Amino acid sequence: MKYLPLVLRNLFRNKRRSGLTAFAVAISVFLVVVLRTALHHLETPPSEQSQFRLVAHHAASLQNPLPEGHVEKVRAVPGVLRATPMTWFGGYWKRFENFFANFEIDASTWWDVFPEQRLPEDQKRGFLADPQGCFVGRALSEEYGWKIGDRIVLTGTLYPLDPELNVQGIYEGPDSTWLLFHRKYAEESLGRPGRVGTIWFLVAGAADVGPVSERVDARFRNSDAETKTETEKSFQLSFVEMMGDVRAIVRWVVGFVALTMLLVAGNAMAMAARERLQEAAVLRALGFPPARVATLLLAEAMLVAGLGGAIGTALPVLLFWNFTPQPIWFPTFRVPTEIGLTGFGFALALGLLAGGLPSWGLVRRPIAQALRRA
Amino acid sequence: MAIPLLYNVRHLRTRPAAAAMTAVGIALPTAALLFALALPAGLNRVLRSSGDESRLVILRKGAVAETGSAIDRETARLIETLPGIAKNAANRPLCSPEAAILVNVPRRDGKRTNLLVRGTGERGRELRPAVRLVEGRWFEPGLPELTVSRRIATRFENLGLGETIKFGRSDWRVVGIFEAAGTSSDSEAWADADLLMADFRRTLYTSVLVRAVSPEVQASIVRTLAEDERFSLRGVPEPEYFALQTREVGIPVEFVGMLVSILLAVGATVGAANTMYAAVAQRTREIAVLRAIGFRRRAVLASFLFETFLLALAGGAVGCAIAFAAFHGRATSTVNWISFSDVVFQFRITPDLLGYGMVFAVAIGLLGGALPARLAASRGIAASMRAI
Amino acid sequence: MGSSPVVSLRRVTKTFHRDTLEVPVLRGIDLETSAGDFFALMGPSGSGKSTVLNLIAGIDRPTSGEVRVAGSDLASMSETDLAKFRARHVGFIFQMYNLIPVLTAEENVALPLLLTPLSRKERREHVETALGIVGLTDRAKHFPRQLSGGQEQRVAIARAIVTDPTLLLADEPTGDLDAVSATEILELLRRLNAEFGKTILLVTHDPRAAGYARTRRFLDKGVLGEMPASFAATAAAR
Repeated sequence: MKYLPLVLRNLFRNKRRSGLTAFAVAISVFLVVVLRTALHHLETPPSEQSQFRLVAHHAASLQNPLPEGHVEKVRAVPGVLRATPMTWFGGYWKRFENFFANFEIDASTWWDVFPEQRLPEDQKRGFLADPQGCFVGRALSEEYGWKIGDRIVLTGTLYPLDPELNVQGIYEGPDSTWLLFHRKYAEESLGRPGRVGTIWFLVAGAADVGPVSERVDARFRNSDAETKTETEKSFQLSFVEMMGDVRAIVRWVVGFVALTMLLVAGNAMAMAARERLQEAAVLRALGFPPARVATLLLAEAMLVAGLGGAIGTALPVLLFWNFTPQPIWFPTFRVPTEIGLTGFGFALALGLLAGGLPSWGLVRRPIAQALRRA
Repeated sequence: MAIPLLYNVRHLRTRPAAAAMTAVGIALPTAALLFALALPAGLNRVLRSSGDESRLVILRKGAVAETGSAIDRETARLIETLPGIAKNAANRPLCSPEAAILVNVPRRDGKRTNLLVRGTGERGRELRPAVRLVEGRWFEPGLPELTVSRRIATRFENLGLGETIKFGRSDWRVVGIFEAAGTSSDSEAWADADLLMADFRRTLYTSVLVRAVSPEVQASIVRTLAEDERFSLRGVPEPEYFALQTREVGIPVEFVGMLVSILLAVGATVGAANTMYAAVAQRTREIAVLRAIGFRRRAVLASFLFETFLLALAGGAVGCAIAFAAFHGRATSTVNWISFSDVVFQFRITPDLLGYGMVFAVAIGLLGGALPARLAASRGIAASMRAI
Repeated sequence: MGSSPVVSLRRVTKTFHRDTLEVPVLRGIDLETSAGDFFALMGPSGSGKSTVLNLIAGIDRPTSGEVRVAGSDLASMSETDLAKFRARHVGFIFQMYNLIPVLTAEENVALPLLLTPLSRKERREHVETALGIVGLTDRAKHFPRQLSGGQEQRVAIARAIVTDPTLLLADEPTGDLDAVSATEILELLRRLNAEFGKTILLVTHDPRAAGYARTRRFLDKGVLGEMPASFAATAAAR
């Protein structure tokens, strides 16, 4: 600690360079934290109890609906606590660009399985009483400026139906980006095809997940519509996987960022070392051990990187605490603690690597030679 | 009077490590940018090259993709009878009712995605001359057989020639491999339409593909389909059909790629600025001497800018080389968010992308070098002489 | 003080390598200094006198021969041990002062004390004493760039003596100073030798500076020899 003043003074010796380098590190850490946060939220459903929520869909793919009779059969499978059908309607509002998640639900059972999506009681009554009622998430309603009482006409891309819906409520919840309307309305308008897209159900605990999924899938094996049951998390993950090798892309990006920043910060520290060569020789002539002289520069690099890392981590943490940049994709964009910490660790590692080689170079040369170079 | 350019080259050579680090620091964001641009370039090529003016995709009204569309058998037969549809050598109308079914299957990397299995027939092949059989044979009508694109065969589990895959209620055997010249068919597996539909207990086709005898006739067919109550369908010329899909496809990846390259560019600009500030500091005296000899401020400014321009040029070239070597021609896939099917495409680093890359690199260099160069040019001669 | 040598060089040679060229700088030096001496090593520039000083300070190693300082054989010591040795036994005064520009005078003086187990308070006392001896108590808070050359060198001397080392090594300490400042510095060195009993080894090409010393030796072309008459006369005039 007694060396801190010296390190700090050196740090402020070339404010412009230290500042620019810290700024560059901050940007890279920001980038890494934001990307990893995005990946995290893409792969993790927001609900707390989702471990115990499973979804069954057609084994071939989601494009193929299940017969509605499956719902009762799933309910009857031992271990299934509550079940509700939910069908992706695939409609858009006015223009094709306004594409968002809209589902047909069975109002009498939906909240049994999705209790975390909270709708005020009076609004719920309004929705139940209106066959053409719908309710939308807070985030979605803000995106399109919808209010209770508005009439929304969706254009169906999957079914020959353009439902005319009345906004009866605005719900709050971990994922407030959906629009939900009565399955009955869609079914009756389409002439009762009797299809459901997915069946969501609850099991008692983590230990039940494997056996109950197996039982459900076994129930429909060799039927006309075999099912595949997954956890909510793996269901969400399957969409991310479809997007391509997102994980690999994020890994590549982090690698690129790390390498670029290593060059930028390493170059800056090498320049600092070159300027400091003679002073380092003086310190060594005064009797400072080589390791300590090297550590002084390394500490400087770590401070610059640490400062950049702190800014680069704090910024997304604070910015996205209660703010979501893309509510349709990300119901929440809060930075998980672990990602924040590794972001900061990334900066420190950067400082260590960028400062390491120049620091070593600083004390590698014989003192007499370094002194003469003045 | 300009300061000789050789002066800058010599100076760069006296500090090769710093110069190299700065150049590579510029190269990496350039490569990242090219990656981000190569992705939509590759995707656009697939979706553009797939579209043929003469082909009309007929969908249910309101549908935006085959996979969300439905046309019953009766209507499909009616379409065949429309006047103005081109005929093949056997005098049969070039009209192919098809079933596009998504099947969630594992890729060879273990990830699952939606493969588009196309139920089609002989006329579907006649309508798509770009699709050529290269190995094995075409599927036999009435048998659970698949003929798949070469790219699909190599990317998916159990879809190689001779392999068998289970979906629907049957085990499907791959009996042939086709190539489709980079069109969207390269992302598909083909089977007999009737058998495929039966297997999925479907009674409805998803689309009908036709060729009209002329563009004018095509337009009138589109009108008939929309207005005639027997149809109430949507006919879309293929280029238009694919253009709609291009819009949404790959946007998340492209967006992330652009964001990354821009933020990295800021980092590289900082790197270039650091290097040039150090160069200016190192040469304070020299600059003063040059000024004292009679070179003007502008010449000093130009000289330093030229030096970072050189660095950026080198960095840009390295970045282009990295991107070309690492990404060009590399096949990958992403989901088409309209149809929810997997699209296989190749990253393409085209000459104009290389041009963008160089411009990007030079911009980084000049941006990073501008302030240091101005600093160098603005110093007073006497003050600089006294320094050091 | 006894006559046991503080510094003892035996058959020391040093050869530098410039690319493929071998440049012999010292060709077999024998030299002894006893405690309490004020020893001047003279010689024209390029004679190798700074190299001798560097060898004694343990910041350079001989090509052959033995260097013993304060009872230790420097040749056998590791870099880290040499650093410890310097911190304990050597106070170095450079021609160009070599103060750390970002530290104030007192902080510069305090630097070597960071290597000791002294408390903050003790360190402050030592710094005050050292600055007092060189007469710069009132400049304690100044940065090097705010001091004159002579003042900077006095801070450097304070830094060299603050740990009370066995040996003070001065490499052309007046080489960059005007005549008045140079005299001040030399007087200061003489006082350190006379009043505080410091053993001082001075390297200089200036006969006038050498005149302040008690013992004088002359180095030319890597060999120790007698002082030329012209040098001796100037030195004696002091």
